[in-house]
Amino acid sequence: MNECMSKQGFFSLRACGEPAATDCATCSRPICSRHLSPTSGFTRCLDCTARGVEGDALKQPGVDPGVDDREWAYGYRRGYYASHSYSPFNYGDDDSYYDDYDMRSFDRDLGTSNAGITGTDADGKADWTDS
Amino acid sequence: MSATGLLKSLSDEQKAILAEKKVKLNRPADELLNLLKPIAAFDVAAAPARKQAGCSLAVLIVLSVIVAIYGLNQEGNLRTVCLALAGAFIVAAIVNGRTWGRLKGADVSDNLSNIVIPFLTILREDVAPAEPVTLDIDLTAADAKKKLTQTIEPKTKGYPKLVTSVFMNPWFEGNAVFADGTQLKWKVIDRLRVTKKTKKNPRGKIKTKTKTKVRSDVRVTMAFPTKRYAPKHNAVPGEKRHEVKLAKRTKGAADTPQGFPMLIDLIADGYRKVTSQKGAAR
Repeated sequence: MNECMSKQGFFSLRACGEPAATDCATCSRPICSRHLSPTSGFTRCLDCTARGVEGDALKQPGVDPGVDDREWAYGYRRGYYASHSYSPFNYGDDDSYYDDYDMRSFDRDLGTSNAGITGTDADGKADWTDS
Repeated sequence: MSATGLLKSLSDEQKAILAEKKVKLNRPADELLNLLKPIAAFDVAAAPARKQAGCSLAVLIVLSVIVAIYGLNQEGNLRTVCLALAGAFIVAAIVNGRTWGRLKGADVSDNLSNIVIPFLTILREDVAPAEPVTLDIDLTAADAKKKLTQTIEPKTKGYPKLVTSVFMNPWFEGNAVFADGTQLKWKVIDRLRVTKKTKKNPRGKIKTKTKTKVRSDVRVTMAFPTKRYAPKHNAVPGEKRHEVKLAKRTKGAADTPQGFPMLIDLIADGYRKVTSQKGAAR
């Protein structure tokens, strides 16, 4: 089963790691029930919903006991990072958006038959096709 | 739901907090929010209800006096009707007075809904779900008599008369351990300065104006685990935790609380003073 890819935390972020309930309708990431937005009918993740409510997010949360203000917290977080130039620390996986499969194109040795040589292509000669 | 309905729906523990106006707890953030949010919801609903009950009380007393005086000067059935009406107004005034008294007695500081609830909502994201957060909150009024520290009286008699009262209100204190191992302690102290200026105009009319200013002192102490965070400055070799102390002070009107953004800014500033070790990336 996929794990929830939402990041929790405010000052330092960490992976949620809970089993995913569904995929977010906007970003397609697997998300657990706790990180789904109630106002979107539990179809979008809190991060995607926070993008839409950013303007209102810096206001105070309500005090209605029946409302879980996690949605407000994510909106506030997004607004705060932008307005205060704050970049949080990340823990666990480097970035839940990119897994090993996505990162393969950044692997220096991939694509060259001779792993020990970099900077030239497979022909071994340095010419205009080499970086 | 009405304010009185909300008051009735509170649990015994929540009613005890309203009666004492003090919170001294050590529980997970979710539990604290579940406990404190209904109290804050009641307090927000009670403010306009209390005002309405107070105004109705004054109107009913005036009406009952007018109707009673008018009735006493009449004869026959009209006298009976007026006195009965005055009696009904008095009963309604008593009911309103009791409601006002109950709501006034259960009134807590607006800091609960303006600062504590938003701060706990943010803190919950950084603290592990089972990890307890320690809170020590004083929800009594900032200008309570026991908080009065200084009164500056005018040296000479006569007008204009200026009386300044200073109240110290150390109302919010607590500590928590974040999921990344960082220990956090905070303290908020409000210093209230109430200035009463009394003037007498040439016709002999006396007017008093009251101005209130609040100075908020927010102090935050953070201890970062050096396994995860390396201090940018003042690193002590071999230390397990690097302690950072931060403080901020703002002045403003009494109705614009600054405690919540100040607390968030100070904790963010604390994180800006460290860099990541292995395992944490920015």
